Amino acid sequence: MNHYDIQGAHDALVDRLVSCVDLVQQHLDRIDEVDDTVHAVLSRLDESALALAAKVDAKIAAGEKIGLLEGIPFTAKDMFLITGTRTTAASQILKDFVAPYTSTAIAKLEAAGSICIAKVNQDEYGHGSSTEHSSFGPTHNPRHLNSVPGGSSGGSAAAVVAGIGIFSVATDTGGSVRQPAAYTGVVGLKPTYGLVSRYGVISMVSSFDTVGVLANTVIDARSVMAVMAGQDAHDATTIDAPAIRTDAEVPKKLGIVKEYMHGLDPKVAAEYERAYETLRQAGWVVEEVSLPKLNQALPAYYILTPSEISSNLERYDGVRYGSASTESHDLTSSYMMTRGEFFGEEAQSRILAGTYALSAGYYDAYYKKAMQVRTLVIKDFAEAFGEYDVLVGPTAPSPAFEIGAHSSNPVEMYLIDIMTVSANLAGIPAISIPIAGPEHLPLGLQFLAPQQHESELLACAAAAEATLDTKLAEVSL
Amino acid sequence: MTTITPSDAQRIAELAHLHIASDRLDEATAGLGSILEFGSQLQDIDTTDVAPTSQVTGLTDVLRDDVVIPSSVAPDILVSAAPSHQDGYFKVKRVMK
Repeated sequence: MNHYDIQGAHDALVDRLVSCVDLVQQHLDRIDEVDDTVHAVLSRLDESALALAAKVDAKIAAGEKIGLLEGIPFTAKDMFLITGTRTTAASQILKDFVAPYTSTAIAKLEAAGSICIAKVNQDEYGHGSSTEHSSFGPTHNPRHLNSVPGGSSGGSAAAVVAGIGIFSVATDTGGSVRQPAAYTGVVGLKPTYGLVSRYGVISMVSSFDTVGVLANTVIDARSVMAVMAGQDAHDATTIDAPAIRTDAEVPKKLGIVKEYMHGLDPKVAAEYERAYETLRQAGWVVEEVSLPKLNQALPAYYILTPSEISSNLERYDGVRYGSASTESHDLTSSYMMTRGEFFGEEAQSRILAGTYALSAGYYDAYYKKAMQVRTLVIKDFAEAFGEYDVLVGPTAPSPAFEIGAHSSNPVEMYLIDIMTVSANLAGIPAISIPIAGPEHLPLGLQFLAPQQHESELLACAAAAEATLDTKLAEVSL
Repeated sequence: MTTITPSDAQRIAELAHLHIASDRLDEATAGLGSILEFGSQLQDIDTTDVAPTSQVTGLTDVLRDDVVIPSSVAPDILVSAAPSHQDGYFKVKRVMK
């Protein structure tokens, strides 16, 4: 099949090289072809997708104009509510939950004519960096099936690289869009906190959660983000930000985050150095800058996030929706048994840590302390952005690891997030673009910009994408 | 730093309304201990006079007009998603003996 980007698919539809029904069907067929081995998909939306595609075809046949995103098939992480679809967050608690309304982000894409063809796998509630913590089983990296696709949006990344949908909508709380993008060799964009409404998106960590996009190119990510962005009366944390522009000047002064280059495998570091040098040759200023407080970002993240997780997951009580245990005799024991029976181990682990950090006597030492460190991280970024337009560095410390490699100790898995969590602590936008890795798996090059500087960030990433050799081989599945 | 014992983990689990099977308690205790030990690195950082951040975009509370807006989802649809419901109400296990 043709591995279209959005513009390519749009042109093919307009030029009638392919019908929208055929385009959508090809992407659905791809699920049949590869998903036994990849396991990216949790629910298929064949019927609604094909019906919407037929309407787009009717419009084209009638000679009407269609928008850029109209008729473009995509997938959504199973955190997003879409009316009438099963929405699970990859948890047994929500295994039979059918969404009664549609999230704003998806509703905006639907209004632009995009067609959701499937809901895709993730770590349960977004808790993880590998998609191994899905209660429906792990997703495999289409570039190397024994490896993880990253997480928590591993299903989204795997779907994009395997050709199931042209882009995927996902959430990024500590790197869950960018790190899987890096592990699978696609583009992953996390916007400024509050740029996209989270209404109808299952909550993980409310002061960190953002709605992002995984796509084949920076331009595609921009096209999708431009549609999803905007204030929403249903989400009071959304901000009145400038619209994303396509004509922003390319920022040329880049600061390499020194702390992110420490301790890398020399072969991995060499790939990044090569990328920085290529950018320098092309006229960018690329020099090292130190943000010492970023070393403390990870422990702060892993106190703040379980705290907010324990609070957000309180709602799963087995009363109003979701699974309920039958092993109980009164209300309190029904809460306890439901949560003990249906939450996965990682969710339980984070609920315990968060409850502890928020409990009387420990709040100041953990939660408040972590909020103060968050302030220090924000200050570090503010200083660096006084000097540099955009910061750059690796998205993750290594290429994708093998399934099962980090399953014994939760903290080991947490260390993978060291280069992504800071952007969420500070609420700033960041994007990962693929570069070739030392062996068979790609690496992610991450760019970070000040809040609401999406236009500049995307201009920078698009120019870097064109300058660096980011074209990876097509996957053979 | 505080060492976490199985009875600490049990107490926290009860606060969180989370039943932990007895054969998982040791593992849960170790997991909690390792996360808290990781987080305890924060204690070495000087945060004197540093204000805590809970909101990163500087938004402040706003009030909307006190007018009733119809729900976008019909109540019966919401109630029908419950594992147990009757006559348009959520049904729960008994609260008192």
